[in-house]
Amino acid sequence: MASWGAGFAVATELTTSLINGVIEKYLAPLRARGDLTFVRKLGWVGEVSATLEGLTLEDLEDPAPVGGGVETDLEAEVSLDYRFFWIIRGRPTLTATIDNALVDLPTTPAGLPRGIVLAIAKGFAIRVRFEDARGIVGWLLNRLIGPLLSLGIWLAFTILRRVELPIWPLVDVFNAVGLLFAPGSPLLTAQSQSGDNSLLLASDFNVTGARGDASRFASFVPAGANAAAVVHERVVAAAVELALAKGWAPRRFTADGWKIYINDINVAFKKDTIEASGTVKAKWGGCWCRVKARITFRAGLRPSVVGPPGQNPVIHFGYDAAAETEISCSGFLLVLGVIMAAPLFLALTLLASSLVNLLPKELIPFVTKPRAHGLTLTVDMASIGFSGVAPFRMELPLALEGHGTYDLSRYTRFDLPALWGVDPTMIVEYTDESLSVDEGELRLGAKLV
Amino acid sequence: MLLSTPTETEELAIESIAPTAVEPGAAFTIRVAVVAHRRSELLAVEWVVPQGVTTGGPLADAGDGLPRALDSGTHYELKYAFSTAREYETFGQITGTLHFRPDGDGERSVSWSACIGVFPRAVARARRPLSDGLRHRLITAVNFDAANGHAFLVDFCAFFDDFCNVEVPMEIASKVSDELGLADQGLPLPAAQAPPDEAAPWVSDGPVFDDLQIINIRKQHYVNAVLGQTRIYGIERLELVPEEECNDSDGRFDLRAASDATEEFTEVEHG
Repeated sequence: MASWGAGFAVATELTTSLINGVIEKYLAPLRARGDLTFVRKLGWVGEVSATLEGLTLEDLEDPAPVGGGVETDLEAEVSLDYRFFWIIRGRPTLTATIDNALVDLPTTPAGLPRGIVLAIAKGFAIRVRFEDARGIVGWLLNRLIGPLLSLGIWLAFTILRRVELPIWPLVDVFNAVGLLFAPGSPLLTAQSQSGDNSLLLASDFNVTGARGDASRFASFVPAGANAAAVVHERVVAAAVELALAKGWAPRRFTADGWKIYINDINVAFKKDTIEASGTVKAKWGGCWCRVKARITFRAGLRPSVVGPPGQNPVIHFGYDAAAETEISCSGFLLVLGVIMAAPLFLALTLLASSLVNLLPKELIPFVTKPRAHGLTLTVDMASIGFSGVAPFRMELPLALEGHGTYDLSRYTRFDLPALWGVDPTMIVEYTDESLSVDEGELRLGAKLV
Repeated sequence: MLLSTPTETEELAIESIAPTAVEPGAAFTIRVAVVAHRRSELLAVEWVVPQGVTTGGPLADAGDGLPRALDSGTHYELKYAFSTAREYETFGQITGTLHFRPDGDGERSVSWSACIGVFPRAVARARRPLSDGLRHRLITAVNFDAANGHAFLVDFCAFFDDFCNVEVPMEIASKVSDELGLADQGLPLPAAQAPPDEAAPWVSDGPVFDDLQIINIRKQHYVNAVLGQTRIYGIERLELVPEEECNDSDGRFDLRAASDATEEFTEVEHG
């Protein structure tokens, strides 16, 4: 199978339909309150009004060399209402196009990505000509209405230029856990090979080794979604190492009679399974036997999204045990739950935050607090410094037949940046196809409306 | 314990029954029952034994010996005698190989193995830590192969008894089982232990067993673990290390941190 993320550590894809939807989120309120209608009274000649009905990205292209900049063709739809000499009236709809506008990735002074905007040259000017209009009507259209339309469209593009598309500053997530972008990352590109034309933001990090190849990108948005994010296992493995090194996840802990020290841990994504393996040192209570154990472990959790649209979506996961040949030892299952919490939390949180970045900066550094009750291990990831930040919570099963949960309700809505008094809200919808795991990669797709 | 080790090929089904522990100097027998799925000629059985164990050959009361033709659907039983050296303790594997020739085909062979401990019978003391000698037996037996690590975790007491020839006092058995969290390994919980349905709805789906049935199921799990047919989920391999050598075995393990100073650990709270 081809790699979703083209070998990059993290990739996020936004389709043109989503981008156009975001633009419309800003334009619709402005249009409703008349801010996109431009009226000119012409005395005894008459009156003209023009309304910007919509702005659309027609396509997205990344001409060679790949990663050098994304181009798009923009289309503005304008409805006119003119009345000349109180007898000549027309209500035409016009479409104006600007070719090869650039899509830009502005950065902070430190060089970190801030968002994605359309970059239209300062000298940009649009001229509208009514070629077929003759006589006095043609003169009026071309000399009075044409410039008016140009002004309106220019204003619209100015609006568009300030609309930051919902690829969020990845620095929030990855920089916070200590992953720094590799040179050349993040990279903005586009693909038009498959599905909708789409924008792609791809990154590699300093500690994650191999580099991706942007020319290999094809759409990886799952059916029914308009945005998706992919994280590679090497990002999560590096994040887990960092979390253990910094003490956010426990390297040593007690669970029932077991005292555990994690020697090493690796994270791998296999078909439908998030897997962790490694070795631990174990000691049992007072240990009458006077021995310690070196345990080589491997466990896999199979995640999936459940919950129909409109209800709180939840990621469910269960252990990949073979019912015929594997049994559980409740003490070690508790140990396994604590060990698995960090890979699972970091994998799902980094992934969800690549799509909808709602991870509060204040969560990090966090502390892991496991608590067992009945057949469930509840693990809270709680901010160390900010008591006001609600802990992220996961539940892991303490029976092989059970299932654990990770609540996605934090990731179901978010506000776009306020602009001219408009602060649209995006709703995030998940389906049972939203989450997928394949060799080396974990993907989350959603429909943002 | 007498352990029955089944082995099956397209032509034959073999069941070898051997003791898991004997006293040094003691003699023992291994029975090999063969059922033919296809007419075959049984040619010979070869044994590979650990140091300190000697193969004495087939016993006279085990029929006419080999070679012997066996029709499809019929069975034949062999018995072999073994002896052990006095004052020689060992742990290892006895491997049997049956050479046979299926009707119309060339010679083939099939092998099976089972662990055996040659140790004098001992009773561990409850009020004192395990002695160096008995601990050495335990470490040798558990580390011998991956299946033994699983069997040790499934039934600590039975493993000690069966392979190390050590009787473990009940109070220690109970304490260690609690520490390992072995109370309900892989078994459906009795109804009384089951949490409310909304917390774990899957629990109520399975059958509920009484105490005797649970003991039998646990025993079956243990035997299957010894045979390598059942594993503790999540554990690929378990190896034991003498407590005082822990640092030597792995430089990343902090012995002080693993001492009884539990406050140094992140503790899993119980709600």
